[in-house]
Amino acid sequence: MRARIELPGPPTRGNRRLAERIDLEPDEILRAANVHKRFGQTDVLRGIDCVVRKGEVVVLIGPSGAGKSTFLRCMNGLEHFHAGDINFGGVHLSDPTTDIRRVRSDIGMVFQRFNLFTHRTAIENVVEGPIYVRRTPRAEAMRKGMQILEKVGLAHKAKSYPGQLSGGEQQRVGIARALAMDPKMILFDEPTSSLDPELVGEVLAVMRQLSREGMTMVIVTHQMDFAREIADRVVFIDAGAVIEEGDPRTVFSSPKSGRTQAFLARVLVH
Amino acid sequence: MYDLHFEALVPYAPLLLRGLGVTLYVSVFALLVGILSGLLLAFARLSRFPLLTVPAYLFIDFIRGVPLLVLLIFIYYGVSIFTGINIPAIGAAVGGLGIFYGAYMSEIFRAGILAVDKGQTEAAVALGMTRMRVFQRVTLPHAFRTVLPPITNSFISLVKDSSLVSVLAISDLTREGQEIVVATFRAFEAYTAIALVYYAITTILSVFSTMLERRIRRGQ
Ligand SMILES: Nc1ncnc2c1ncn2[C@@H]1O[C@H](COP(=O)(O)OP(=O)(O)OP(=O)(O)O)[C@@H](O)[C@H]1O
Ligand SMILES: [Mg+2]
Repeated sequence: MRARIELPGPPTRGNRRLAERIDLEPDEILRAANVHKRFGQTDVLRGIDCVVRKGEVVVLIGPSGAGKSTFLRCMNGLEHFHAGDINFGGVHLSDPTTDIRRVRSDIGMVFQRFNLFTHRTAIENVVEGPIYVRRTPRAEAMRKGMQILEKVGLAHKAKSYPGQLSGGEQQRVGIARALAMDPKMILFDEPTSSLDPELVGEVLAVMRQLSREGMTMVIVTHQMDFAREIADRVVFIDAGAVIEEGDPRTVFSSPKSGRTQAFLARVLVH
Repeated sequence: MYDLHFEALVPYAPLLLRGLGVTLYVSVFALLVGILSGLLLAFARLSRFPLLTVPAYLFIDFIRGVPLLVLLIFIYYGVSIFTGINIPAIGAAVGGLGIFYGAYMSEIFRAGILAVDKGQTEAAVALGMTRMRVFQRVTLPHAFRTVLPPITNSFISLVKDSSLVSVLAISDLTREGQEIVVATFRAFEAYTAIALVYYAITTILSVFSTMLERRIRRGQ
């Protein structure tokens, strides 16, 4: 018989010790502290610390496999993390008694591959959350849904199925679907990377508009020019940890860390 | 030389019609039992609990390993032997046929549910839906579209296999045909007529299935 050896390490779901808890400053909407996550044997997040203030646009950059998507998905509980805490609006995601669905309903998510409900029209996609999560009466949800589609320039495509829309239009419906929930924050995971180059602009335009209106956004992107333009703060993640962060001008033009410099040198080939 | 005398069947047309009615009755109710048990078995196999998955797997495996004819007889006589309750032949027929097809259809349902794109369910989860809601609003509609054609095919086989219930002395189409042969000695004509009726039902069903498939494609 094999002896069970208790390894020191972060608490797991099964034997969660007193969870670490982190509090928010008044101007913050989300704070992540010491977030650890592993898939099997691989440590994907190794103690991430990160803050998102209200109305702020935070852009996560970093090499492929750094853990950007994983971290983003931890923020709305699509991934479970093993240690540390994420506080969203005063709610601790590390607390097993937290109603994670409440958190999710307040955080919009825009996916790289759009993930629109293919069996529903654009407007049906937009009102799905309000009706089946928020329990908004259908008529009211439809009215608001049409206004939101109008805002992303797609009112005329309300009755189209995702398969009948271009990639750029689908992604704008994706953003409308997130907006329809009146989110406190929206997460974007490479929202333009599966788009043809000529369709990228229309999606970025909508995101710029949201930023102007003061929407809190966390964006993962490989488009450095857009990151520099839209970000209030850039966070460089490598190998599951935050290496460097700051306002985009500083990070892009005079990065402190050697790893950031190397990464930027690779992606900013002119 | 065998002289064909299809006109000899004419007086027995009402009998064939009644047999057709019984065949349809058995088939439709067996389909309902099949869908219900198939769904339950599929959910059991998809569950997280070995206490559900293992028995479901064993049950499906057993049912699929037994010939339908044997299963029908086994249920008809077996139930009364072991429980002392005499079930009507029609009940054994509907139950046996239904559970037999349920075992096959459960695999279709399971595959259909597993085939639903993860991005679809994830988008619903990210909106804050409960697991039940995600299932109802996303998984089910997608799975329904994938399983409809194979389930229609199962129904076509089921209608044909329902001829086996004649061994339980149920007056279905096949049984009535046998009766007509006994009365008229026109075996070839009677079986030709029955074959054509089965063929007509299955053809109607497959045309219907093709139409459904087209409609589903268009809706995407
Ligand atoms: N479900 C999973 N199971 C196992 N490993 C995973 C899973 N999801 C991600 N990983 C691994 O975790 C690491 C981080 O992945 P993640 O997708 O977060 O990276 P990323 O920074 O978003 O990269 P990219 O820029 O390519 O999207 C990678 O090594 C990846 O292989
Ligand atoms: Mg990623």
